[in-house]
Amino acid sequence: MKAARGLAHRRTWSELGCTDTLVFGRCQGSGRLPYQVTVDLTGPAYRCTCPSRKFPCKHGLALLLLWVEHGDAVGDVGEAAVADFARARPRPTAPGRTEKAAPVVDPEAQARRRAEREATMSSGIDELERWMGDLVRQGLAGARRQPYAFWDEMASRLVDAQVPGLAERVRGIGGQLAGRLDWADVLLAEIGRWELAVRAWRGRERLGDDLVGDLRVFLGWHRRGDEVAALPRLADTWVVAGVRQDELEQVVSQRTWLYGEATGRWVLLLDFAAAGGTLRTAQTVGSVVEAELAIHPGADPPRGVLGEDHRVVGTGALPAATTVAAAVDRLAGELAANPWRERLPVALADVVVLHDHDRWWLQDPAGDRLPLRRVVEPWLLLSLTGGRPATVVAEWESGALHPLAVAPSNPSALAVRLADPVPL
Amino acid sequence: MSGTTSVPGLWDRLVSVALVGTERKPVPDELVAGVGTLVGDVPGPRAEDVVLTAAAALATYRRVGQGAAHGDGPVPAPMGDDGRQPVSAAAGQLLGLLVDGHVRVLGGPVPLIDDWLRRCAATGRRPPERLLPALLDHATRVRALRPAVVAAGGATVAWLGRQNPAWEWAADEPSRTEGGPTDGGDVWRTGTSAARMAWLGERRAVDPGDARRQVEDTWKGESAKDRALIVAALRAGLGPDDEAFLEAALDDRAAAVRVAAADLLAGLPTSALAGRMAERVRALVAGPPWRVALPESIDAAARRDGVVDTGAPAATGKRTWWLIQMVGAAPLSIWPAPADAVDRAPSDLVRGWVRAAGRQGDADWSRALLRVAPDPALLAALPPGAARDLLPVGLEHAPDPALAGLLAATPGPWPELLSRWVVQRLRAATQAAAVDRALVGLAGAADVATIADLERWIDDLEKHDHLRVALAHVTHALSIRHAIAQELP
Repeated sequence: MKAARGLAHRRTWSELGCTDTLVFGRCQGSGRLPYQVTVDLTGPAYRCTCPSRKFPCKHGLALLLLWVEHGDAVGDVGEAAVADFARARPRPTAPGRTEKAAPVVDPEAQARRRAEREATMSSGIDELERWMGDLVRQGLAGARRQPYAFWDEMASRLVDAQVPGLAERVRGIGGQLAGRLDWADVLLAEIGRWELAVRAWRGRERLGDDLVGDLRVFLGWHRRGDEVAALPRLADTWVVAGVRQDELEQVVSQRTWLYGEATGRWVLLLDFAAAGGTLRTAQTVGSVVEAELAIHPGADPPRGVLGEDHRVVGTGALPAATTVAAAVDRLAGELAANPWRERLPVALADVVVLHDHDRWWLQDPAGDRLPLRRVVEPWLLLSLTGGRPATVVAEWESGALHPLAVAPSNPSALAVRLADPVPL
Repeated sequence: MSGTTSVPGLWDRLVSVALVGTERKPVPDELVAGVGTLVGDVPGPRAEDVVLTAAAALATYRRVGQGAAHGDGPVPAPMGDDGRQPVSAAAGQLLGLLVDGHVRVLGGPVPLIDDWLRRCAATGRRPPERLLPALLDHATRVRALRPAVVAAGGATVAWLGRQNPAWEWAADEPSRTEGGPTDGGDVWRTGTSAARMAWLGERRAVDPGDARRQVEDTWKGESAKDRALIVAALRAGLGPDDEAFLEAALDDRAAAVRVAAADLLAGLPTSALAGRMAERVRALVAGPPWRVALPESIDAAARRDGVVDTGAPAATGKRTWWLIQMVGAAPLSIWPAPADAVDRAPSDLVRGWVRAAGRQGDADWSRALLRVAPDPALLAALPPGAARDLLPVGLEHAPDPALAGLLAATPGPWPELLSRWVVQRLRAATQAAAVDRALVGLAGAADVATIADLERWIDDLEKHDHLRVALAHVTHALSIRHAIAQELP
């Protein structure tokens, strides 16, 4: 597994692509020619031209890992479908292959494959619940002392069961418990989320589309490219409120938060690129984009997809900002609708940055406040605001804020023009 | 809701059950009932099912129910208006490139950042706020940048200095954590060794007499290591008033302290130590024309005045070294005019005079000595203007390996004529390694007018000559300086 991890980097792979049932690519290994690797998801069955006798070989596992962890990076077939719906010419720099014509477009076969996939997932999810039952029977204190392999093994069984999102969370929780006084709360809360997903999965027939959409994201069952074409649309003038990038294993992921001026809705754009590559959505914070977005099913704020057909109609704009109390209210509603949500956008009006009880806070005129995340340094915010009240756009994550953009409430009287919101 | 049936209460009970495990600890009935009320049906039947259901429900309630905190204390005062206009966008971008490290410059970005900040301060405009934290971090590490950051940063930097203890040096008032530079008492009495020495250096620049008095107050209690550091710090703002204290330090128990004190006194031509050295030298040296007798031995008084056996330069005998030290500590005023003195003087005397001139900073002596001894100390001891005036003398007489040292000892910015002269001299050099070393000094101080000369030089070189690359780096640095000069006139 470790060897597979080492290969699951975007840069070692070329000609990546996926269809309904296949994930394929070429992996540059130690040989002269790259190995052609194919994974048949219905099996799963692995085919690889490398000389290894292991089955599945590390290239097959690596390809799967790459696909599940960065599904949208591999699924460039999806981008091509987006281009279609936006009536634009095909993108000239598509790194993936365009979709191979499926050998047989047979709705019956498709339905059967989907049922098989769901059955595989169900068995994996059931196994997770049994495993969690063991955990709480034997006590969390014992679990905390386990080596990483304990979590990794359950995680890899979840990967086999095609539930990679859940697998990633199981794999990651072990490392988060060390050195925290509140580790038991953190672990039990995470177990609670997994159990909630288990129960939601079992009862998914009775759930609305939005909740199923959010559940699928959490579990890691990505939407295929051709499904995007069928998504509902939402047109508006969208303020680019904040942008945040993360880099994980050579893949840069970017979250762009859009705020619709007419609808008042927030939408999230997700982009991926191999390190050194260019991200697709390159909008400046504060710009206003007139566009029709394809909206994935899910609770607010949903994920959206930006088509080719959009234009920038303004700059220096801000989303509507609220008091801390109003923001917390909205957050509560959003978390109740999608309990598996990691990060949410907030826009706070007239907040000052201050230090109290060994933490930094954003506090509004009513005295309500939210803390900044401990990893965030406040100096840039302080320098830009001078300690004066300002509008701050931030990502809320586990109760703390990560600031994304700031605009002073009362720009200096001597400023020649209104200062654009400054990305942080 | 009472404590045991509210969500936080139920959660705490759940955690305590889950920690130990349901094998060992049964699930309390109140927990089952409480969760049943929330969820709408009674979970079960097995204990672990109850716990998992409870975890799912309560974790969600907790997450959704996170509210905001509330602060009742006073909101700190914001900063006052800076009042200045911002610099041009291009100027801001230039600074950003330098500060963010996107531009790699020969000699590092610090001299260029310093140049930018000084010009900015002179134009009366303010630097971009988004760069101030990075600038403050730079200047916290590189002290030489601090005056420029404070000058250009204005009210915002002063205010930021009060918000972050690491930037306290920039604050205009003492912050709440430590006393500022003007509030001596606390730091000097209670600070760490490093903080105290920093404070002392800064205080000596403002009020040397007061700084020395503070030193005298605490002298008896200082460790030997600190005493040596303190004496070395007194070099800043050194003056005749320090003599009494330093003379007493010649009798200190620790050798390091005695050596440091003697070194400083040798730099005060009016001191008694300098006078004693003059007496010793007069007994050994006569002329011009020069006749030099090496001392037979060194008595206790001479050792007290700082003459040592160790530290002689290569190929120098012990007795010669003694003579050099003595001449180096004697006031230059006891000799005839430097132009006459240096003419046909023996090398021992010359080396002694170089030491003396390096301490006492005399332009006439430096000029005369540079003709025969291209020592950078002769320039470093002079004010920047005088050093720049004398650099051509040094360059004219110096062999190639000495060029780098002379350039480094001459602070920039160099006037156009001087800069072009330096380039000309470097082109005439034959030792490539010497030219390489000298280029750093060029990049930092030369006038932008030399860019054309440097480009001609590059063109005249062979294609494979590595010097082309080095010169390209220099022109790169100079062109950035030129861009800064244009954006901040």
